[in-house]
Amino acid sequence: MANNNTRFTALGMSGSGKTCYVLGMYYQMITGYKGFSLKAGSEYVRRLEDWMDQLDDISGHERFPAGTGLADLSDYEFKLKYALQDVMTFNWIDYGGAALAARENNDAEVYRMLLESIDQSPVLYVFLDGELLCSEGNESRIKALRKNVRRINAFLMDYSESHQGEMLPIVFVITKADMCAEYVNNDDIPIIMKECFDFLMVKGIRFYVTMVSLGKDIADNDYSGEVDPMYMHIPFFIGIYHTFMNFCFALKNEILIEEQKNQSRISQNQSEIYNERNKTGWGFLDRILCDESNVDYCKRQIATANETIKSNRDLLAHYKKLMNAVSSQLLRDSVHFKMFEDGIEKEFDAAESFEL
Amino acid sequence: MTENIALLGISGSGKTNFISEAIKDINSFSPKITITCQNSARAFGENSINTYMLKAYENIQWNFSICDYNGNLLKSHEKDNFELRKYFNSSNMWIILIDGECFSEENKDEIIGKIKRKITRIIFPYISDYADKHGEKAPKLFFIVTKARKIVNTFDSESIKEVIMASFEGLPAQNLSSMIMLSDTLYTRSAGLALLSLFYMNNFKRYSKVSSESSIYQVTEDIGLKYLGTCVQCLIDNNKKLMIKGFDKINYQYDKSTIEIGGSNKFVTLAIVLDLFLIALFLIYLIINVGFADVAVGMIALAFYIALAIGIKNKIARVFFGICSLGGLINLCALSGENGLLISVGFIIWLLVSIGYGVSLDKKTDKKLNIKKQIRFKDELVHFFDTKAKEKNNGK
Repeated sequence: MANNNTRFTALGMSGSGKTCYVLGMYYQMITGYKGFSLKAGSEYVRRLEDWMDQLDDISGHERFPAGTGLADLSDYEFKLKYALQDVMTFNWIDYGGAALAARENNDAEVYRMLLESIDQSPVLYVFLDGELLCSEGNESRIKALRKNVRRINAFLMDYSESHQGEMLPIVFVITKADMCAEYVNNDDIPIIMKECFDFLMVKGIRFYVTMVSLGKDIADNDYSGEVDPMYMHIPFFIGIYHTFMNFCFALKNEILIEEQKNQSRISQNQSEIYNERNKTGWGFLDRILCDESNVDYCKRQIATANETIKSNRDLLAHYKKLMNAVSSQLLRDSVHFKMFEDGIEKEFDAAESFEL
Repeated sequence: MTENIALLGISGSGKTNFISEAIKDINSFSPKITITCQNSARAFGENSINTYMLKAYENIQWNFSICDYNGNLLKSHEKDNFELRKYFNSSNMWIILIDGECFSEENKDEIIGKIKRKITRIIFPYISDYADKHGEKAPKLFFIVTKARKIVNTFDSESIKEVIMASFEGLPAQNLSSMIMLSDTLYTRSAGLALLSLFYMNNFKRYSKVSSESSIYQVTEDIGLKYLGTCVQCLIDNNKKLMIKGFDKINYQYDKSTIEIGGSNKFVTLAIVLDLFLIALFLIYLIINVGFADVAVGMIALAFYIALAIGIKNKIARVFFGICSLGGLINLCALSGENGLLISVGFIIWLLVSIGYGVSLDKKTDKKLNIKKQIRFKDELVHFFDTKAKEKNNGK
């Protein structure tokens, strides 16, 4: 199983839909999606199941979970499975909107935790309230969104500064897509992103934008529409795509070093066998003087080294297979999200995953 | 050993009905197969675990238990749910009931969405939990679409299969080997068929292949097992519309096994007929050479003894008259002197050897299962299913 310290950190202003996203993602993934499924840790499983029932059985705003308290954080533990086999465990950290202002409020502990959490995250999730985009004309949408993300931008700039200009991939999740879909089309997204997050349109920074919803009719008849999560898996799949890629690159390097060590161990043992069998160069004398136990020992060492090489290669192949499953799915879903890299919009082609 | 069967279905999916119909179906169609409840223990609060015994030809074939519970227990977080989960994890055969009503949605995607929302969301975590405790492997899954009377004529097998597999996307691809069938306890005996199929799959190892290359299975040593194999296969052959997936694994060839048994009986019959023919020839020879009057009494006695030996039901009397027949034969043979005695000994040796050889071909020759009876049995099954459909239609 991949390392257990993976964290996905979710940021967003209060009411942006972070908690609803966790619920929607779990709702979609618990039944399995393309072989992948999620299992919640025992601590949160009940809460998530109750929320799912609430979502199914109640109508009105009460069917949605209450958001995370302003200065609180929820740390959901999940196990990702592929074809029922454990792939990795990860934590989804949902910060209340006030966490972003923790430094300004001199709450050093919350701020430190937030930074630590981001440092352990392969991607950073930023939630944008889709309701803010429900107006005619880009100008008003940009104005509303800019105002809302001011604090997020300040935090991201701070983060970048404190990390020597480095920024991990960001996934912008526009929630409540069922409401804003009729106002925002595909061509509006780059304009809005450029206007609101211009400082991210630089070399070396990659970010994704995707729109999600708990159901296209969820808001109908005073929020009594059917739950049918739309594209909830995409942000999550982007996250695990980066996790697998980081993991595979690290594993590949590690394996390469270990393989070199094992290869030299094999050559060393092979030459020791040769020396043991050729002590004098006289065939019959060599046979008498040869200590077979030494030869056997060396053979065992070679076998162990070969086994290690094989099992490492198998492990890498296993994770490559998983990554291919994720990247293939993302390629299929790529019409439903946008990728920006080095300041320009690019097609997601998963090329880096094929380099492995 | 009692095997646990896990029955998973949300509230209203028809668990209780399914169990009672399955038991009723099996008990009502043949006196040779019976299923009885051995024990009913209270479990998971107000719910129960029933232990059943399946018998065929009075031989115990299978002891199994099924739990019946309120479907809402699956969503509970109380202690009873913990106990239920433990029961599920102790079983490697899971029947998952899918309410056929879900198929009333407009298109395939909506049907999948509904099954996912209403059923998979509740049940899949249990499968996941089982996998966690059993080396990341899923249990044997048997999907039964209940209340399927409308589905049978409106959906083809391929679509139903696609819907079920897409609704359980988190399962391993190789778990496509799971089984799917339609059931409607109102019109068919499909609940009984489902349980018998499960019996067959669970006792698969007791059935052996006809040859190493063949995919056909049969059994020779246990008449009850043979009867159940025949029964399952006949039911499947006559209900193709209900069998959606995985039933190709059940390939029991009932007719062929009967023919083989018949083969060994035929050999014995041929030997006896040949023996009787030779005796008749010898008697004609005696009449011609010794005279009818001298042979007549012995012949009448011989015919009488043979008739009794064949006709009488009591086994001891049959052996006694058999010995008398042999004595009568020797007596007749003695009329032609020493040669006649030698010939009679020859007849007896020939008879014994041929019977012995014939029997050794199939030591446990089962005279009850001949071709005619098999055909009758198959007809009975077809009729059995027809009857229920007609009964229900008439009663409607």
